[in-house]
Amino acid sequence: MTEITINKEVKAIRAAIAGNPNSGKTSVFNAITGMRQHIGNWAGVTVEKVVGSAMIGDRKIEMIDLPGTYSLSPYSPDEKVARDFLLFERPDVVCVVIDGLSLERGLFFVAQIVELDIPFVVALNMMDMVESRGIAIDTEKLSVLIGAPVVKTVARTSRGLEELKAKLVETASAEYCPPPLRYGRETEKAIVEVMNRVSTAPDFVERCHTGRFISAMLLAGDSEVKDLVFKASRDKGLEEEIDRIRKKLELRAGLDGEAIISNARHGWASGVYHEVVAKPTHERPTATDRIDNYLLHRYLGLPIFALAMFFIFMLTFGLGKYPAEWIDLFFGVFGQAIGGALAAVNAPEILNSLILDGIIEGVGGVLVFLPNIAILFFFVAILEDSGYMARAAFLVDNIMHRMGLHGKSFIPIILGFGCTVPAVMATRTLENREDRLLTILILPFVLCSARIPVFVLLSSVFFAKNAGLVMFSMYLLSILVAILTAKLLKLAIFPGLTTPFVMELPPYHVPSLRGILLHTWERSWAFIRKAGTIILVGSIIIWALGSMPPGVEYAGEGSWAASIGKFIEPIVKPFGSNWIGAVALLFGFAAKEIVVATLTVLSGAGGESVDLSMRAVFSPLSAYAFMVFTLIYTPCVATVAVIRKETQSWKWTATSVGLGLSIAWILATLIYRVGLLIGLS
Amino acid sequence: MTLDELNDLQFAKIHRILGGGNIRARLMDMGFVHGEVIEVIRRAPLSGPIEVRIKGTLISLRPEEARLVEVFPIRWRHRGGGRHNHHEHRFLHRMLGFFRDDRDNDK
Repeated sequence: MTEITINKEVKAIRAAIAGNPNSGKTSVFNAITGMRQHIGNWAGVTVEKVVGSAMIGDRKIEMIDLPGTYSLSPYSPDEKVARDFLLFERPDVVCVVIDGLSLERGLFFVAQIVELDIPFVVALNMMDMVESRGIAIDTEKLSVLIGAPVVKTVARTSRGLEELKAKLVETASAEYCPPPLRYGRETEKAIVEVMNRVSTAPDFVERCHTGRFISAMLLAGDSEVKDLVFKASRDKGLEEEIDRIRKKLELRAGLDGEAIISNARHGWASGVYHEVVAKPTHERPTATDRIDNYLLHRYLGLPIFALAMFFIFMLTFGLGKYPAEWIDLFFGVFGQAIGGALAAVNAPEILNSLILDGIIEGVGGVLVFLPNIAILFFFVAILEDSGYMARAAFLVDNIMHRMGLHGKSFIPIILGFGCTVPAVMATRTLENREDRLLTILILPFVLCSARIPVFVLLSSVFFAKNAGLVMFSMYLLSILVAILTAKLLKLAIFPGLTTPFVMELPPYHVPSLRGILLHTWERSWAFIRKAGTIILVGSIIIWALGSMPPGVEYAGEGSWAASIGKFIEPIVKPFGSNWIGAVALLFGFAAKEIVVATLTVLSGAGGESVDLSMRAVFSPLSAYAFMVFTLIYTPCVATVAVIRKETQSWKWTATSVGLGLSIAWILATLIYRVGLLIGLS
Repeated sequence: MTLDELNDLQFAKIHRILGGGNIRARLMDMGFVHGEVIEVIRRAPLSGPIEVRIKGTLISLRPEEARLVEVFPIRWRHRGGGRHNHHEHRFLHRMLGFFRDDRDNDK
């Protein structure tokens, strides 16, 4: 064995997974690497490339899961991630995942991969659904026609994955040059002309079809390839000359360059498709068609959607109540047991206080809300996996559009009811930057689950009989503020904006219980982790501020917390909060769950009942104003960080925080003052 | 004629995509190219987006975008090519026995 082959054995193979949105790339990725990436049955779930690795035989393979793309001329940020990776990072092999049910469109993507000069393997996914519809695909013929191995897979049940892995390794090290795609006589002539000019450039490297690819992209007028080529070349006349070639071709074909190239690729895809696919002559309506007749019905569609949302809501809070009580009970007993144990070993008073008042009180008070959050995520996972999410966007697009938003803003907003952080990340499916910014700016107003504890605590103390109604008013207010802000921002910052809404409605899948439980678990675990880290640290800091300087009565007048709270008290005074509320809101910047922890810890709820200690801090009216403030101001540090990351701008991040604080303050004060005037209290 | 003017359940052949820029590129990527057969399936409530079937996949687009797609409506008389029978969406009617397409008998 030569040294070269040994090196090749040791080096990991870099395999990129690419393909149309919602073709099952992430399922394939998870099945190969054993990772548990989030999968949803709607386009745009993978918004950044995800890397994982696996051993295939004795070879290490590094898998890169790319966001879905329809072509290599990207037009949304996540598509650009995929295209740039393929073009500039050049993986050793590409695994093109095609949804067997939309094979023709998948082949259009293959038509572009063929010219990239990267070996590829086609995973023909969702074959179970293809077969159940009686459609036969001749994979051997397909493999010959596209010049690459084709493997039938069902990623969800791991069917065909062993073969796929073997083919990936095999293909990565094979010599590669598939038959080129022919564009038709006139276009071919133009391509050769362009190629002759481009290939004389000094830094041009021809692999197999690179020249053809660049020429085709230039003729199609791809602005990024243009920039690359023309900036790199020192040839001044190049751009003009290529323009001339393109104009000549356009004149002859009667179409523009972009359409010529696209038509040719679609023509190729369609030709290959009809060569290899045999459909039953009599097609029955598919299950998806039949279901959609009801779920997307002109009159029934929206009521069904509203009803579904209502049920999810009711079940989340109705069912979640019981386990929440058990957790509460557990922490009560647990706290007593620990307290007893600490007393038995004569632990110092300060340690006793740290553990009981700080940690158990703080973290326990937050974990109580785990059942609600888990149930909500469970239902969101069902909506995502089944394919209903895209339908929801279809149904509500018009409403969202009138609010100045986009149908696709709906998905982030729904996620925002869970947690703002993933919601902000999910806005990447919005192609237009202004649409994205607008959605990101209103997302903090959407009532995220972390704020629920605050509302549950305060409404159960002050509005015991109408707690449900108060909760509902919070949701209503959240939506109203979001809509009004969207409208105002649209008028103020982004006037005259309309962006395209072209979206695929994927076939329905029966969601697998395993998948749904996995999603639920992942998201709930993220919440538990947050409770174990940020909230734990927060609880300890709050406790420390409450018990320092030493000797002070816990959270008493002389404590540091009181000093800070009193310093910022004038800001919260107008809406009826005192220094305890001020400290809670301040710490709430870390995470909204800490507001509850702070309120209970600082008001000394550990000793007496929560009810009494809360009544010492708030009146019903000021409690409501406090809830409104909590609802609207910045959700947490993590949100600020992710907004900064997604907008790439401190200006917009500051705008978001400033907007939240000022609207929160104005509304809370307004409600409190008007309430006082009309004699509520 | 443009796509937004078609009735539900009507078939048409695409002639060309008007307009320019991203939206045009995206439509072409999704298979909206000259000669492709497209079927209007339904409209969302409140004059929302239009759902169409193209190349065997379901796509929704707003009326503004549908206006960019120039089409020739066609009457679907032959069965070849494995295309979808247009009455497949009339499931409700068929369930109730109201609807019987003459093409079921004309073979």
